[in-house]
Amino acid sequence: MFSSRVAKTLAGGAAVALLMAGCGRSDARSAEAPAGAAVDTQPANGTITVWAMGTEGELLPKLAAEFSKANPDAKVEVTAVPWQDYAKKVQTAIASGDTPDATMVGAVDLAAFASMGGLEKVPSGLVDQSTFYPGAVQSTEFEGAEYGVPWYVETRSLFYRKDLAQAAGVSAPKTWDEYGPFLKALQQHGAKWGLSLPTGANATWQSVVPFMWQAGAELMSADGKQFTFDTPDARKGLEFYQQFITSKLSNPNGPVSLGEIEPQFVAGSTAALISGPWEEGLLKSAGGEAFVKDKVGVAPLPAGPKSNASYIGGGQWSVFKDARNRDGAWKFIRWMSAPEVQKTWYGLSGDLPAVQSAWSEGKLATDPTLAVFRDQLTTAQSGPNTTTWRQVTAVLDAEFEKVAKGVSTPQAALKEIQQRASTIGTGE
Amino acid sequence: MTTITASTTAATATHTASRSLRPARILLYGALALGLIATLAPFAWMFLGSVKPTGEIVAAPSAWLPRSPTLGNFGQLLSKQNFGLYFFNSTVVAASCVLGNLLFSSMAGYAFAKLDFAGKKLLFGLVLTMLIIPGVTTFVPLFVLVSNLGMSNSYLGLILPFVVTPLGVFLMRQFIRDIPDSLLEAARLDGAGEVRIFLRVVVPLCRPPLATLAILTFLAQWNNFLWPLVIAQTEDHYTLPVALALFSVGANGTNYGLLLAGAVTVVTPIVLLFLVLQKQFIQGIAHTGIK
Amino acid sequence: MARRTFVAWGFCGPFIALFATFGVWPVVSSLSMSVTDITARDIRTPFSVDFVGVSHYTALFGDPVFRRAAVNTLYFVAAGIPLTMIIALALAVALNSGIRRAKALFRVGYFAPVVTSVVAIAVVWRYLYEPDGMINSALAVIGIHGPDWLNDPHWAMPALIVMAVWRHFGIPMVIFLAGLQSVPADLLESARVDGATRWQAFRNVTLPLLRPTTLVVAVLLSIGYLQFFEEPFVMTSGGPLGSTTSISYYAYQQFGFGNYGMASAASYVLVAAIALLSFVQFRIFRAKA
Repeated sequence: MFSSRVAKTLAGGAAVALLMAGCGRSDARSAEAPAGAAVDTQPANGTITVWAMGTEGELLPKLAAEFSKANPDAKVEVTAVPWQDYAKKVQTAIASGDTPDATMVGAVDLAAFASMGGLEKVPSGLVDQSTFYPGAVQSTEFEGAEYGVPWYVETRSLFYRKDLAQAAGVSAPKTWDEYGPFLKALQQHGAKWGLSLPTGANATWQSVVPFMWQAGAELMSADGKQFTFDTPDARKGLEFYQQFITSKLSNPNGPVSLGEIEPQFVAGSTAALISGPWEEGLLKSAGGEAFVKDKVGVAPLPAGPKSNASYIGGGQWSVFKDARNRDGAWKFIRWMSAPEVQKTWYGLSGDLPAVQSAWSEGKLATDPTLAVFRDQLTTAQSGPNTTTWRQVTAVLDAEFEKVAKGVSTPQAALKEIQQRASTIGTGE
Repeated sequence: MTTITASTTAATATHTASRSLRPARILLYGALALGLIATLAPFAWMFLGSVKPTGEIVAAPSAWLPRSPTLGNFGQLLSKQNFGLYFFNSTVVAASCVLGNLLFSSMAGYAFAKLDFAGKKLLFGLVLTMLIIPGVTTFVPLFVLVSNLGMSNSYLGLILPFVVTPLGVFLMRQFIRDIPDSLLEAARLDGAGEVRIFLRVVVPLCRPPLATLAILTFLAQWNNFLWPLVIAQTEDHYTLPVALALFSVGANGTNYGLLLAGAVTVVTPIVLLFLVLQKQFIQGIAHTGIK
Repeated sequence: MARRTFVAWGFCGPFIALFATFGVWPVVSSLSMSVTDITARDIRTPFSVDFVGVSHYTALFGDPVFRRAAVNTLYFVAAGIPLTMIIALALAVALNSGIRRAKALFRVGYFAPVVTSVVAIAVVWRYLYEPDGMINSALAVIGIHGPDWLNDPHWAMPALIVMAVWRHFGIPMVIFLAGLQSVPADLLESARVDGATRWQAFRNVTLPLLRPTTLVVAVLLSIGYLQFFEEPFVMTSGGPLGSTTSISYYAYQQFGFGNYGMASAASYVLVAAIALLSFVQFRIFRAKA
């Protein structure tokens, strides 16, 4: 075992020499089955090693204990991994073939991991994809196959200062037309800025691209081979984003780091922000329980010409090609996607279930704030699943920043984005 | 910043020793103290922040003094499972790298400085070249190598890539080169072998650069994040910075209370180490820096 | 003689074995990556990539983002190195000027920023740099209306330079301190006896004697500062408007995108720059010495 690894490494050295001699890549990508081999319905056995990020990683052992009750011969070993730089960890693991059996994957990263050839396709018939929110399934797809099973979802809605809205006698906006006047009214009742929008910080695109979706834009051609950023609908969306800043509803210097906006919202200098289910917890620690209860309202995003689409994120599960207990891992994942287990997990972690039917009872069915996110989830979308998407988002962030700071126009920015994205390509 | 610049001009003006000029002396102390306050202000903020509840840390406008001081952040940190183990791992990794660097670098430094062998110049040139290669360049190949050697998720994998550094050999060689040859020749005439000379003559003289190397190595390894993150496959091999990132940095938010308490925990041992070794450290740098 | 060689190899053998494996080998690998079109997708089949010669290198200089990063890096180095050296030298001179009381306190205090963890200290500095943060409050006292440091494309880089200088002046200060201790006191005395002012004695006696020390400091700082990465990484993400993106940050991003060939090429541009700058410094300081 050990010496074969040494041999492999030495062969890697030989590769360097061979490279110079010009041994090139072959274009033919081997045609593979669209799904992995089926997994039986017997109880799982053996040790299943999994990675899970952050809080999910800290809490997952509790859920895994339930799994072991139902599958006495199986044992799940969870390693909690920091969110920070976790993609590097997964990539280097895939590169070396030294992986656990399964890992949690953030929505934006799936394509990159799948393209490295490190992930297994979801076995045929493992889960019924139609039971999940469509946006969540969309983010598990890569090159026409599914590489992950949705686990939990998050999406962003409008958080606003309820007290200021009441004082102004306005209610949450439902359409783009009502958006500006609503924010203006909050400003007139004491807020310096109406709405907080990111203006160039990492992942600015997750807040700006929804405006384009709301206007009806599609960021990729139907065949998934080309980016289509330079369209009238995309421009309409970007112009809408720009007018928040030009009409002084939003700060041209939006938040750069996590935790920056909450104190301003608590202090009342910013009257609204767009964020996800986790925001309540952050506002509680910044402003206290009472503040959230009395002064924070949550509403679905106002709809544009096409829809009120938001960005969908969350976590999904993938199995590595180098997994030692491949069947056991898929069985664990199948178990976690059952509605009952999804509800249990919500109880443990507060993560919103990806399975729609899990929302049918209890707090998930009755809580008014959760109802907002639930509505939002039905239309929420994920970014295109190309291997190059991360690289394209860096261009998006940079160009959106130029629009926000007034050094570029929406038209010029989209032209530049289209041109640079075409150069980067879709990784085909 | 303005205070620092002010202190530097004042300091330059009164640079030589002159005990007679009292006003100048007072000015110098004043400038140094002002500069020190400016330098330590961010530190103070960090320490004070670590005993604030998160709500107070992020509050705008932020205040220096905690309104309701709490040890809750530290309590939360210590209550985390395995916290002792992470501390232990960090210590083992950093200490092993320090020991390895001290041993191998002083041996190699001695060979490069005082012994003759074929290819010496070429090898030392290579060492100097490696001094300037950024770590990010070699990260992926290094990982593939270590995992192919079967050392991922082991202490070996955490330690071996950093157990020798070009900087260590460079420092030791510079220092040992200045040890007079006559000292070594005398020992040789007494019939001592090279090993004996190294242990009895060279090493005892090398305490200053060894202290320098110990501090620099400890510092680098104690704070290392990315390497332990990718090489540790299970939590029982996590080091302190990896565990702190796990607890404090989430996907959508940061627990600033835990982050600052963790930072205090990480920084304190290094400050203590520097306090103990500072004299040796400065001497060590003195002898290697000048030639 | 053969025995001597044998002994010599015994002394440096362990180092060379480890150094060759974990130091040289990855460099050879990454250097060869920089002339292929390898991406994250090929890492499991490293044999099947194409040799692309220097096309990554030409592509780099055709990329406006990289050119901007190169200019930013030069700006950082050109401002950061002299500033760090002046502050470090001034502090070393002050600490070496015969003060007795609290000397150890000053030494440890001024050295402390070197040992901080950058992630934690970033939190603090972001607060310091807020539009109504502590730095602007201090400036307001002397009647200056401070900018929104980290959001202003003109002021973000100076802000990061100040932070970097704060984090890094400790080690040069100690090196200068060590250098000053070896300046013979009688030389300074005789200069003073000859009627030189304190400043003249410093310029004409101390500074020339410090030249080798200065060289070491300059080279060490060049190596460190050309790899400018942590400050933009934790403070600005390279913004605003790309004004703090450095070459290292660019390389890090390319690694994140999986473009290993491009990322390696960017790193070796940096290596070339470090080598060049060190060479120039050797020429300047040696020539004068």
